[in-house]
Amino acid sequence: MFDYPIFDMPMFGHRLIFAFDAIVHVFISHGAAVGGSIVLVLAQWFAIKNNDRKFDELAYKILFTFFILATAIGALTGIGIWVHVNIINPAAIGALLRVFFWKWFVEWIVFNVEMVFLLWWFLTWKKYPLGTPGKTFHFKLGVTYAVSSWFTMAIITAILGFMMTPGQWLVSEFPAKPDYLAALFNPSWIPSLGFRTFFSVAWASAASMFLAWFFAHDDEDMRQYAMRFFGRILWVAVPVFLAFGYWYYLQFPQAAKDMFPIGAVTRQLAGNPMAVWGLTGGLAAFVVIGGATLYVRPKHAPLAVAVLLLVGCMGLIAEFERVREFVRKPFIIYGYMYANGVRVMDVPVLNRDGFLKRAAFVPDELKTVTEANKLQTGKLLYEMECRYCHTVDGVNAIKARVKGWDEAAIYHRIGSLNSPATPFMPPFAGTDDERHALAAYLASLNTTPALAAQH
Amino acid sequence: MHFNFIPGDIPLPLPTGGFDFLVPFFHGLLVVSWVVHILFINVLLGASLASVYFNKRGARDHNPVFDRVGYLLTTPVTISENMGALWGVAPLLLVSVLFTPLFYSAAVMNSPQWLHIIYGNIVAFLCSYLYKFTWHKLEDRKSLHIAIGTISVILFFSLPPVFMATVQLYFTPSTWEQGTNFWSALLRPDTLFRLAHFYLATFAVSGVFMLLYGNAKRK
Repeated sequence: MFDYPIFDMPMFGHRLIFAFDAIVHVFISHGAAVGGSIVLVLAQWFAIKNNDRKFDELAYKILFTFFILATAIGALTGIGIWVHVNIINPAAIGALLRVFFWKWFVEWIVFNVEMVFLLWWFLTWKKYPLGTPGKTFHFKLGVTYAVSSWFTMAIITAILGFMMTPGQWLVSEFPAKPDYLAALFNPSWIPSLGFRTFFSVAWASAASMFLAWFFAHDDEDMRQYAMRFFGRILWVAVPVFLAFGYWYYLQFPQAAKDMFPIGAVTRQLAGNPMAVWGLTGGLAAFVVIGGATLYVRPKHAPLAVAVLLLVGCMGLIAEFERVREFVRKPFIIYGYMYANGVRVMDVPVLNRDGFLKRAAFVPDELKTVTEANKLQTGKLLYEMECRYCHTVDGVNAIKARVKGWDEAAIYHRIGSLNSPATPFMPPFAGTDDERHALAAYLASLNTTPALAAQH
Repeated sequence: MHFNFIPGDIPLPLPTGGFDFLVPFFHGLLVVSWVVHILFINVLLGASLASVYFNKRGARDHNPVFDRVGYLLTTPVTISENMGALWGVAPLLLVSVLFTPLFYSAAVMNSPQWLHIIYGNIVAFLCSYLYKFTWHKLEDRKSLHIAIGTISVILFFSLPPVFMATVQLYFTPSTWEQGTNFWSALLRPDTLFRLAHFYLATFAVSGVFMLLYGNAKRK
């Protein structure tokens, strides 16, 4: 049932490289594309309405930055999410593709519209100066871009919602019969879509204020005008996304809600409420102080204030995405597949027959644990079941976790991975011999590292 | 034919909704979207290389015509890099859903190099934008400008080997062994010849494109 070869990411681990790509993608797709298109369309509309050439130029400069970020980094890190997951957790993305193929296909068609209209809008901005009849047509290009950009987010949000709250999507387990509509209209889709839409708008407004600090540096009146314009959008969007956020939060399973503090910081710090609220509240304070100062005193606000606003927003976005990913554990698709790609329904079979026996890329001589191959098979089991979250001696190192434990203690711990102490860990799947082999390998990491490395 | 490893399929049905005729339709769509993707990529590689070449020649011969041709070519580069990436998504989606265990296994064996198609591409994109948008600003610093363009061209040309190795590997599961990796997949004759064919075809397609583009621009 483990049908793929093993990709190892020493030191950084899978989670970190995936998080890097995915969070960069969220910064840009939400800020420069979805939110950015809405905010800049509003700015263009305002410039046309007031025949304000200077504001039109400022909007173009911001669009220039957003265009570079969205096309060079945003689009590619979006494809990168697939590419990362297909080597990190192929079973999960394979299953998601089977359930969401048509939605993804429609999203790709809309993505075409989005890209064409973005290129068209951006590359012809100067061709249609303010006051010419073509400007209204040009404005409509932006509107189409904004609508299609939002639509792509709507579909991807459905997939993310499905992973957390899949609802009654599997009509029958064998032969598997998914209910595609139930998967789409999963409980957290609409609340999370509202949440993401307005946080995108808020984030894009904040990013525009940051950029306006530079682009209108020599023109204090324009800077004030821009800060007030984007600031108003920011202050309207924040309470709306907070309201949607609360509705979204209500959809999470209780077990997930219980893990919010760990997701917000780390397991070590989660016991200290000051750490959790300090980090979140501190970042929110950055946003409020930065945003309010730029809004109230736009002509005199120093660069540090604009940086504070940017850092606060980026910190909160990264924290939210980490919490959302973390609290879904031990699952990757809630109730259906564990974070390590093992389907929940397969665990009894793997416990009976053995994990190695059902792994396609394990050579025949290692399908059964023997005294001679114990370390080798143990290492394979570690690689197939644990390395999704752990590395040997890098980030979240397993070696440090089992330091000072002997083989027997590790063996017992493996039997209770999914327990109240570590509710985010999937259970070990495999026979008793395999559990012994994994324990022997993990113990050897600290006692005889050279031996462990050999295998 | 001997197979060392035979991965099993995902135990969820293909998303045909019971309409089996959609399977050949998926295959057809895969071919069509793939061809469109490759045409954009051909133009991207050819036009980005030609732009740097004409830029350099314009600077060497102090010939503004070459310089102008080089600059004009940056627009099809921008369009084809964006549309090429976009039209790469459809075949990626289709191949992932039709050949899930074969394609993903090949991608895993070719990792971490497989990630180069993202990170190498991002750096190439950024360099190509820098090259395009600093054309006039760096007029007096041509060697720096040409160096930026050259980095983007080298990076764009470094992406097909990664794709090619993965595609050849997923086509040929009978060749999979315990130690199969990116380099062993790339340095096989079938991959290398296919790659050579692709690069040569790139120049041919770019030639046709430049003829059409030049004609359009002359009008």
